Amino acid sequence: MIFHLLLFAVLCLSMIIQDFIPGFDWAYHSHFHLVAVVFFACAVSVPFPVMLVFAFLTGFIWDAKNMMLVGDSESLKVAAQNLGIILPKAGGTFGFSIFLYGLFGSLMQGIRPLFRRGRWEMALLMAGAGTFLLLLFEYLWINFRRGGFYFPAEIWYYILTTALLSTAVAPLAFYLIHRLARTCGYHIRLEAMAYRRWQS
Amino acid sequence: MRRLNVIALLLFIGVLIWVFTLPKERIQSFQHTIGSWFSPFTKTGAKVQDAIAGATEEAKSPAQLKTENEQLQVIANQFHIQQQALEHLEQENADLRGALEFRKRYGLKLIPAEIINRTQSAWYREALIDKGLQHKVTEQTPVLAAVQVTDGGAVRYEGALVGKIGGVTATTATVVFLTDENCRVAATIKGLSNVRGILMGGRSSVRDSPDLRLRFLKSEPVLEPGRQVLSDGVGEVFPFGILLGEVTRFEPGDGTAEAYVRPAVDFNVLRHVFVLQHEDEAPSPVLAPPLPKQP
Repeated sequence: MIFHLLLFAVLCLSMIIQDFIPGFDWAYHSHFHLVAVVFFACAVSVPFPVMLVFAFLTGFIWDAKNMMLVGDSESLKVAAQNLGIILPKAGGTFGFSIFLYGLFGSLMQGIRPLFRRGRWEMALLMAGAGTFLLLLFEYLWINFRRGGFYFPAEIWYYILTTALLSTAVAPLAFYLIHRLARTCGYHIRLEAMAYRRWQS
Repeated sequence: MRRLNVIALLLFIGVLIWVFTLPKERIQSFQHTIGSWFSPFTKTGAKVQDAIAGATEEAKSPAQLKTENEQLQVIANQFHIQQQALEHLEQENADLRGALEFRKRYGLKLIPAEIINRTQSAWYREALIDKGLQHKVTEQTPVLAAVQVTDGGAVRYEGALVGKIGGVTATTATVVFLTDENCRVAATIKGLSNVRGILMGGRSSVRDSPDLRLRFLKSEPVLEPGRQVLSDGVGEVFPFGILLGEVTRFEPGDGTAEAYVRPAVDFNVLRHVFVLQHEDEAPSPVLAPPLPKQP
């Protein structure tokens, strides 16, 4: 329980730190998506119900902080009416990040048995892939709501670079959580399940 | 699947449906609360980002530094530096005078604000300003900037639309730029009051400054480059006659035509803006009578 509370504190901390991380201008404002990486590291370290709680809290706070809800003003609706046109929706969908974190957190749960055997590599790669999919789905949803799919090369570059940068910091997040678990006496890794590579 | 997992999943789906069906006012209240919790960190983070960006700019190659050093040796005398400082002050003074003149001329209650961070999100073109609910900034209100306009050789300051307030916390607010697809404005052409359309920006913020598109225009008349695009003023939210930009290209279509518009505001260097105060606090923000309805 203490470990889970501490993980939530780490998630909140990652959201604060995220505000301090600048984007790279040379890479179309790509950045380290720390929140996603920390969430994926948490998702693979905790049981399924706890992961869902984390997905809800992370998605909710993320959307509350970043989601642009404001749509068209009444004035624009009047103008569109005068022109005889129907405008596609503007603004975001509050709660969509909860769905995405829940979905990709569940994918991370799929490799949890492997992770518990002490194999980190797959989890690291999955954290990067999860970040990529998270951004891609966010953008696809924006396209779907606003009508017309618009995918310039810069978008792919941004998503891919952010995912790669996030993969690069993933080991740090996994190590931090591993240390935290050891301090709290929580067993992420089950020694009994570990591969006995060096035994005859 | 374990029973506990199934129950957890069902609960998660239930809560997700609850979130999706939350009324807008409730969501905004959550956003205000959570935004206010994080606001001090966001503000400090913006300053740190600025400092890091500055430090990155200074990181130059030895060859660049050598060249720069040679150039500096030539021009580095006290008089020149003093002159530059004076010129800078003069420019700043002129800018502030212009802003003041613009503020007086419109006779509106405008809240001066400073942009403290402009790259928060990949999907939205937006910026964080240092004024919020405490300063009576509310959502959907227009944000303007004073821009220099040359009219028959004379230079004057004109109010140009920067965007609108997208989200607000106690001490900060988010401005959705006119260059974002989310900030759509009913627009008209100066001198052609019967030509109307919807001005909209780009979908993501990965490109630095895209042209705006004035859509749903009639194919006639053909708009020549250089024509000024103004806000239409329908519905009395965006004041009528606010400068939006100028036409760069016109593309006739099958039923409707569209024009590409260069924004009047340079969003890359924008620092000081004005937020129009809410109707409850100030007189109606209509600067001129709205145009008659299009037949």
